[in-house]
Amino acid sequence: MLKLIRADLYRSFHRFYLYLLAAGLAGICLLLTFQARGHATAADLWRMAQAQLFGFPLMVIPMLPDIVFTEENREHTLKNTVAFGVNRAELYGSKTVTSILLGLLLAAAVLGVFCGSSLLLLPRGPEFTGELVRQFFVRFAALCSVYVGAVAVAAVFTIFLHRGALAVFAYYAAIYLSRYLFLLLHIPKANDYLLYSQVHPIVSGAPDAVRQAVLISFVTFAVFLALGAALFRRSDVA
Amino acid sequence: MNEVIIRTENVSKLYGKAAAVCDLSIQVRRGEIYALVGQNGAGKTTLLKLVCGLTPPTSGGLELFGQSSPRQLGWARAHIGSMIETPGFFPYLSAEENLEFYRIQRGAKDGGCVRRALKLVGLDDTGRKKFKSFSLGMKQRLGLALAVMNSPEILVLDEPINGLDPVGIREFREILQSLNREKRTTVLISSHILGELFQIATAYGFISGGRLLEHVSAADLKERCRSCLRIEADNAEKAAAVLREQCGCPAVEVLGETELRVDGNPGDPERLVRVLVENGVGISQFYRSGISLEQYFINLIGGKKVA
Repeated sequence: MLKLIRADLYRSFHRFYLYLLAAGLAGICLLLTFQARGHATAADLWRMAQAQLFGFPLMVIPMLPDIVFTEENREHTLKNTVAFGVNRAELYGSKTVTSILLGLLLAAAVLGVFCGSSLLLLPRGPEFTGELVRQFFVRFAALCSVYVGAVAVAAVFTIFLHRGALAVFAYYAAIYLSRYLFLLLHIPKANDYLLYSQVHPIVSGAPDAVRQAVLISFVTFAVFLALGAALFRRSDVA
Repeated sequence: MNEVIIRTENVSKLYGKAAAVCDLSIQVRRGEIYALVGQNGAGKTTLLKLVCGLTPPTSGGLELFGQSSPRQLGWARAHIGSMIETPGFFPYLSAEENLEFYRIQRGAKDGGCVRRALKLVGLDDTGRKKFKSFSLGMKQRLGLALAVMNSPEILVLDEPINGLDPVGIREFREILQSLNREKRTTVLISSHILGELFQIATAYGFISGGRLLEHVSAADLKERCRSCLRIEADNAEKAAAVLREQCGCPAVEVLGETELRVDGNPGDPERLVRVLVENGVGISQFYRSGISLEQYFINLIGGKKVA
């Protein structure tokens, strides 16, 4: 599986889109810092980011399987790999892992720009303590489990629907609209197990709530990874 | 030459209720160049996809190198190079980068295999030119480069010479023949350019409607398509008798009142004409004739139009 991941990373790093995406996200972070200049401290900005912006990456997640999966569907390159006898479950797993690795790299770059620019351009403020920094990074790390689960959801739609735009639309519907569906179906309790519902407990909940949210996210990841692999195993490769 | 390395047993592939391939059984032996001949939609590409694992069969069995379990088939496919339908590559990568991607993916330690494959197909001087800027012929060549990169024992090629110019077609044929001759690479190939297949194939499978109509070796096919003498005379029966009795031609077939055919090697044509005329047979036409692979196939499918 390592060689499959290595090959996908080799290809992804040759793709301008990846750098454009990183630059765009880093640019948004810089813009935030510039906007905060003069009326907020770095501590204010970090707290605001933790409370309100940590859910934002869920909107960007479908772009990761798009780089890794959709392009292979569009360019008909998957057949070159499958015809070489690569195990399909292994191939699907490797592509999901590659999507996650790319996401982590993007997150590191964006987080670096956010933290660096806020510390360089804004006054830290008296509330910028070691505990604030620890909480920020621990909760972000915990939130990565939600992002990982979201990658698995997005990957399933990419495999099932083949078309990038349709897969992205289905992903947004699954992440953001499914809670309304459960309300309509009079099963509001199901909302507690949705990925989107795990963001709030992680960014502001007690340690127990964080642990439960992380567990739900990893279970979602495992379920959708297995579902995607099963779908991919029986699908035709064009 | 006798070892069967590709075998399908009553394999079928249904799309909904439509059968793309139906109870099809073929055997390809090591060292053969096996040509699949059929109309559009006959099931050639589906059969090749089944062999390469790109689509699962609805029923029936597949054996590669004598292996048939899913795990063993995966191992066996690592010894197959393929080009199915149009070559698929990443448009923003150069020829070398595209092959490098697959070299890494396949875990090939020998970094030189990329350069060698590109040199073999004449793409070693494309530099940083991206795949999206390639001509159709260059794309086909890159597809072949990928297929041969890992020195496969079997090449599965679906319409590989589409888009190639005449020089490219000749080079392609020479590459295939040299791989087949020097490395004993077995080739399973489909093409619409039947004349080209006729030059390289050692066995043929004729397919129509997802079914195998006939399997025939190249030698047998050449025999069936062999040339003959066609004669139009005022009296075919009399001409046939003269040819049999005075020229020693046993294989004379009367096709109609005025038409006859002489198979085999009847000897000097000028002498035949002279003898016929001396015996009072009037000749209006006398020519050598044979049938092409295309005509043979059309006859086989009952005269349906070849798409």
